[in-house]
Amino acid sequence: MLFRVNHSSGVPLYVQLVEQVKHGIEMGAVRAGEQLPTIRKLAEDLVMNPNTVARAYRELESAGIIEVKHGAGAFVSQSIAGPTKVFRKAEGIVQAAIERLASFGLSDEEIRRLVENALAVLRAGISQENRNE
Amino acid sequence: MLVMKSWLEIRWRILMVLAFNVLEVSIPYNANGGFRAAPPDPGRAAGAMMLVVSFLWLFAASVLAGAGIRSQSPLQAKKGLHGSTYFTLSLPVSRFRLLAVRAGLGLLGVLSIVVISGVLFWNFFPLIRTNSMPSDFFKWVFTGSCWVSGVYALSVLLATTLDEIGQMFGTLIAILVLRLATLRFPLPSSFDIFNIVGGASPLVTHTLPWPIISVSLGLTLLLFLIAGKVVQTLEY
Amino acid sequence: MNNFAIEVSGLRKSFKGQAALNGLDLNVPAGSISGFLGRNGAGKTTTIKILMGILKADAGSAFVFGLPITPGANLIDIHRRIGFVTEEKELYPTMTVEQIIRFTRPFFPKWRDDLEQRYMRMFDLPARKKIPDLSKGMRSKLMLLLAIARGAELLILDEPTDGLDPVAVEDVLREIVSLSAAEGITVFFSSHQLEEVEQIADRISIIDRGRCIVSGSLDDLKARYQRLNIVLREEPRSPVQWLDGAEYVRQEGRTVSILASRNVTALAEQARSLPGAQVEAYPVTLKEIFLDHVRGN
Repeated sequence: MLFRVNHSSGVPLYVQLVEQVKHGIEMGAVRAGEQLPTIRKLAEDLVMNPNTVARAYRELESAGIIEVKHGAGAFVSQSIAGPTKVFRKAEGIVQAAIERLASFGLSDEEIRRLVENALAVLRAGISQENRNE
Repeated sequence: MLVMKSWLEIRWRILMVLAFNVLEVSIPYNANGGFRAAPPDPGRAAGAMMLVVSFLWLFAASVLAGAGIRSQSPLQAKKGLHGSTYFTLSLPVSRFRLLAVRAGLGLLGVLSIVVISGVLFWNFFPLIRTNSMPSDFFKWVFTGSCWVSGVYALSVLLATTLDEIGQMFGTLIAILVLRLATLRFPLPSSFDIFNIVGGASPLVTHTLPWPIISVSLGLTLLLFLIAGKVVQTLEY
Repeated sequence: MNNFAIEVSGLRKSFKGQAALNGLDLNVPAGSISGFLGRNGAGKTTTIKILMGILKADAGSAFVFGLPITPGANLIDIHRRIGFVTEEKELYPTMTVEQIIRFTRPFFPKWRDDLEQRYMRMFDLPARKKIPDLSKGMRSKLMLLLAIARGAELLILDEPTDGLDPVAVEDVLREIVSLSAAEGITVFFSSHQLEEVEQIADRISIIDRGRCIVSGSLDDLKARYQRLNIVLREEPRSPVQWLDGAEYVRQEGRTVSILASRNVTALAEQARSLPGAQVEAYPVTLKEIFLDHVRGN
C-alpha cells in the first residue's frame, strides 16, 4: 500500500492520511474487507507520529469507512463500494477543467495554486464573491 | 562504574607524579656520589631532604584533586566546564556520590605516593636514617599522610569551582599565605606544620605530633564536607 | 489518560540580571512527541537544564512524571526514567565508545541490550574509537544510543539530529516514532529543523524571549491557522482595525498579508468589505507560524 504525506504542506497530516485512504479505496487499491497496516507499521513506514495515524484511523472509523477490530487490526468496511460513480464523475470534471485551464496558457504551478486556493477558501467557508470588478 | 571513570581520568596524573618522584630521588642520588658519606651537618641535610619530599607530596595532592564533579580530560588542563558534565548530571547518581568517588580515589592515589616516595627516600638516602629508627619511618609517613590529606581536601574544594590551573595556584597561594602568616605570627611549636615537615619531623623527634595530626584530620573532614555542599548547590 | 510527563508553570530564570526565562508555561502530555521551537537564546536549553536539575529556577514550578523538580529534591529516581541528549553532544574524553556504554549501563536496571545492539549496528558506531576522535554526527548517534537503550519513559532531546546526514536523520526520526508507537515513550525535543518537527511531532510549543507564545496540537494549529492574502484597489487611507484572530498583519502598499489564528471567515468578510479587495486563503506551514510569531513578538 503506497501512502504519501507531504510534511511541509499546510494541510494537517491526519487529514492528508484520511484523504489518502479514501483515495486508495476509490482507486481500487484497497478493497472492502482488506486489512490496513497497523498504526505502528504505518507510522514507521511514513516516519510520522503514531498519534496522528491513530487520529486518522479514528476519523475513518467514525466516517464508517474502516472498522477497527480490537486486537485484529483495521479493516476497510465491508459496505464500502469500490471506485464509485461519484469519483469517476469527479475525475472527469477535473480532467476537463485542467485541460481548459491549460488551454488558457496557464502553467502547472498557476493551475495548482488556483486549485489549492479554491480548496482553502471552501474549507474556510468563504463564499466566492471576490469579483468586485 | 564511577570508579572506572575516575580511574581513567586520574591514572596518567598518578603516573606523572610518580615519575617526578623517581626523578627527584635519582638526581641527588647520582649527582652527589658522596651522598653516602656523612655531610658536615647531617641534621640540616636531612631536614632539607624532608622539605623536598614534602613538596612532592603537596604537588601530588594538588595534581590529583580532580575537578569536583566535572569531567577531566586525560592530561591537559581544560579551561572551564567540559560539556560531558551535563551527561554526568543527567545520570541517576547523587552529586555527593560523584564527588566522593573521585575524591576518594584521588586520596588513595595521594597516600600511595606518600608511601612510595617515603620508601624511596628512606631506601636511597641513608643519611635520613642516621638518627632514626624504623618505627620513625612509619611515624613520618603517617604524619605526612595526615597533613597531605588536609592539603588535598583544600585542593578538592577549590577544584569544585576553579579550573585546574586555578586550583593549583589556589592551593599554592593558600599555603604561601599560611607560611607568611606564621612568619608574622609564629605558631606554637607543636602546631608548627612548617617545622614538622622539616627539622622537627618524626624522623628526628621520634614522636608523633598529635596536635598537628588532629588538626589536619579535622580540617580534612571539614573541607571535604564543604566541598560536598558546594557541589550540591552549584549550577552548571 | 490525562497525565503530563512534563508540567512547567511560571518558570523564571535570570543570568547576571538578564532574564532567560520570563514566566514560561509548558505541558507535555505522556505518550506525545512534543517539539520545542525557538530562536537561539530564546530559553530552550535553559528550560531543559532546569528540568534536568542542572540549573535552578528563580521562580515557578516544574514537574516531571508529576514529581517536583526543586533545589535539593532527590532527582535520582526521576533520572532513572529519563534519557537525555545534550546540545553540545560532549561525552567523556577519556573513554572509548564501548567504555562509555559499559559505564552507563549499570545505572539503569531497565537497560535494553536489544536496543543497544540495534543502534550499534544501525549507527555503525566504532566500538574502540576514543570519543574525542568521533565526528559530531557520531557523537549525536552515540548520545542517542545511550539515551534510548537505558529504557527510559521520557526522552529529553536537545537538537538530536545535529550533525547528521539526511539518511541518519530519517533513521533517527523513524526510531523515535517507532519507540513512541511500540513503547508509549514520551519524547520532548527541541530543534531548529522545523521540517523534522513538522514530520513527527504531534504537539509543539514555541518559546520566544523566555515565554511560551504558541502551544498545542500541531494538527489543530495547522487547521486553525490560515493565511489571508489581500489585494486592494488602493492603499487604505487610515489603518484598518482588523478583527480578533488577525495575529500578524503585514501591509505593503496595496497588499496585505494576515496570519489568522481563528475567525478566518469574519476576517475574510472584513477584508472583502474594503474597496476592490481580492482575498485569497492558504493553509499555513509550521515554518510560517513560527517565523511570523517570533518576528512579530
